Amino acid sequence: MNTTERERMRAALDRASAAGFLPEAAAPHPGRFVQAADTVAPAVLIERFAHELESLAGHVHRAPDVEAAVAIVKRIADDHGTRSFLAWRDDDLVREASSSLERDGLVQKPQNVALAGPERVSSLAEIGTCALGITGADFGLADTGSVVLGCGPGRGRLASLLPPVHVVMIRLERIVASLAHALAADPTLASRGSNLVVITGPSRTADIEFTLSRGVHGPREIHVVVVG
Amino acid sequence: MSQAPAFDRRAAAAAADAKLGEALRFTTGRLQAGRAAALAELPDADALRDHARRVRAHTLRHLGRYLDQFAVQVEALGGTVHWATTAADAVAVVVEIATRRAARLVVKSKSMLSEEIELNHALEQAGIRVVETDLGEFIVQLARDRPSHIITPIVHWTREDVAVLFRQRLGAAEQDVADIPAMTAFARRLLRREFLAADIGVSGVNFGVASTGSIVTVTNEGNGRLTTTTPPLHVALMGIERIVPTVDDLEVMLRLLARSATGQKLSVYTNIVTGPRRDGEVDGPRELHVVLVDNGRSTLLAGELAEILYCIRCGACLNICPVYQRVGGHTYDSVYPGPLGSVLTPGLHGLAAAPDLPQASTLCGACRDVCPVRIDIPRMLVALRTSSVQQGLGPGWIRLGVKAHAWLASRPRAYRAALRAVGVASAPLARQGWMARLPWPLSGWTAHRDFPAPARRPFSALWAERRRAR
Repeated sequence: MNTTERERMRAALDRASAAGFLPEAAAPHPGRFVQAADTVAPAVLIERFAHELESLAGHVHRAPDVEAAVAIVKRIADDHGTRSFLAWRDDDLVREASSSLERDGLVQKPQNVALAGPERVSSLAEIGTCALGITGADFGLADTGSVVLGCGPGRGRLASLLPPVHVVMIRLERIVASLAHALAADPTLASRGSNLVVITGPSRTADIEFTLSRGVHGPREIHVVVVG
Repeated sequence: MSQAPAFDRRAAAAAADAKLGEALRFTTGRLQAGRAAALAELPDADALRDHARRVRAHTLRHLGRYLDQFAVQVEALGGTVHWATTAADAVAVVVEIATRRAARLVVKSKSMLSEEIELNHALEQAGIRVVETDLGEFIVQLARDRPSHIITPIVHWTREDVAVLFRQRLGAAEQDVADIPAMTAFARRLLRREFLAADIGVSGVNFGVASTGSIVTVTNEGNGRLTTTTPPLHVALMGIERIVPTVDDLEVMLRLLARSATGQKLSVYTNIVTGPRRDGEVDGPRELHVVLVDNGRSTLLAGELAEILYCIRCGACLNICPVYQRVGGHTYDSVYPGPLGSVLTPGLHGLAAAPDLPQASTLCGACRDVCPVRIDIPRMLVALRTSSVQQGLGPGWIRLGVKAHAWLASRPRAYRAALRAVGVASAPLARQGWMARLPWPLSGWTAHRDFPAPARRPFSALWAERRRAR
């Protein structure tokens, strides 16, 4: 940090903040926003979650148990003629699906991207060819149809980003009412890893003539398999 | 009258462009309707907006403290924070980072701040290739055009325009430009190669969280995630006012931002970066630099326009503005167009740099009504008009007129005589209380709408008569 530059800016800011006309700035920080109570019955939550995600052209699959969930993932991989895939390594549900796909002869590519040098470029190129990415999720958000993915060891960012099809496996009880609820349940969620992403539907753009088209940089398809 | 101001000439040209008018009507109409529906669906929307406004106000009052907290957190995580007072300082920091790493290719996700400081030009001067990756910004860059909206930068382009551009500049084949999905897929393939080869990713910042040192970018396409993930080094350009104190405050802003911008409940990717890649993590950049940019903001903060810094850049004020809807973004000749820009641009760079912008408004107040944090834009436009007169900017006849009025208004006898004269003189022009045509310079008004006829007898005369009668 350039200390002199910092000190110059800080001094200017303190003078400015005190002098400027800032409507409503005299009040203290308003604290946490308290919202009118939500209905939180799990049956309502999953229904809302599915409704919201499907309205964005995402797919929601229900599976009574892990076996059924794995079967759904296999069918999705099949439908897309998948030969290689990228998957989280430390998630129980995802591990079951990955082993099953590997038994069927599909190749699981390593997630690890080298920090620097030509190895970095070649590992990216290798991962870049995967047709399918499989991840877990920390939370599903009913009010927006979102999934919340925290990265960490064994839980890469690229599995939900580079392949054209992204499959998320999540247990029913991880679906909560909203992002506010997720943060209340897990206060260090946002900063536990170097990256947290809240994904709300497939990648999309409406830049040209305000016409929607999907899969511009991220996945064009997102499937959420809800177990339980 | 001297030559018409540049804004007027650009506005007239834009308003006469039927294709542009159609595109603006369609896009701003859809965005407005989306916003209205998304806010109506939100429980407690009004309370949420009040809350968000108070968070912004509090943060700006204590901005220095929160920036310190943010910087300490970023550095504790192994990131580097750079403080840049001017645009030139900020550009120098990024160019220095890039040249020190011998970078050849920089990928960028959308950042209005990078356009404000004209970063691309400087990087290119240093021999570094810069690729914009937001589809709209990519097209703007390819065509050497400028964005005309802060959310939908190429609202002024048609699909045919894009098809021609892709064929001429990128050698796209017929099937690559057959329709919008084909053009999108074509751009995806091309930009994917750039993402995987890039040495540096430069992103903007929607919000910086003081308590955690997190950097938040929201995108729909996913280019924001790629920019901050595949290159080994990430540079985040952040205006100093982008700070929120806590993750809970961030959540409040996120609930309002996408709903106000496009009517989405959340953007597709809300990407929260907290420091560089950590031990044991499998991907992400190993180096993170955050550039905190002032560039006029502390001067703004010290004055009566400080409230414009509450802005969270949703663009709702552009979409609702009757002036923006007719004239489009380029007419403003400013990185930030529309009502927001009409305050921000003169606020950051001085009125002399943008003397027309505060006049480019009917002061109808629609911008204040849709603003998620209820910024009183009309108040600040009026304040800027006052400064404009005080600084002797703007057309001479306005100053002359104001002077003449001041002279008259401070001389009651002359004032009453003048009012009576106007009442009599205007009588032949009036039809049912309205005048359809007036002589110059008032013909500028009646060219487009009628003018209310002055009362036959002024109020002061009626008042005097009543008092006598009592």
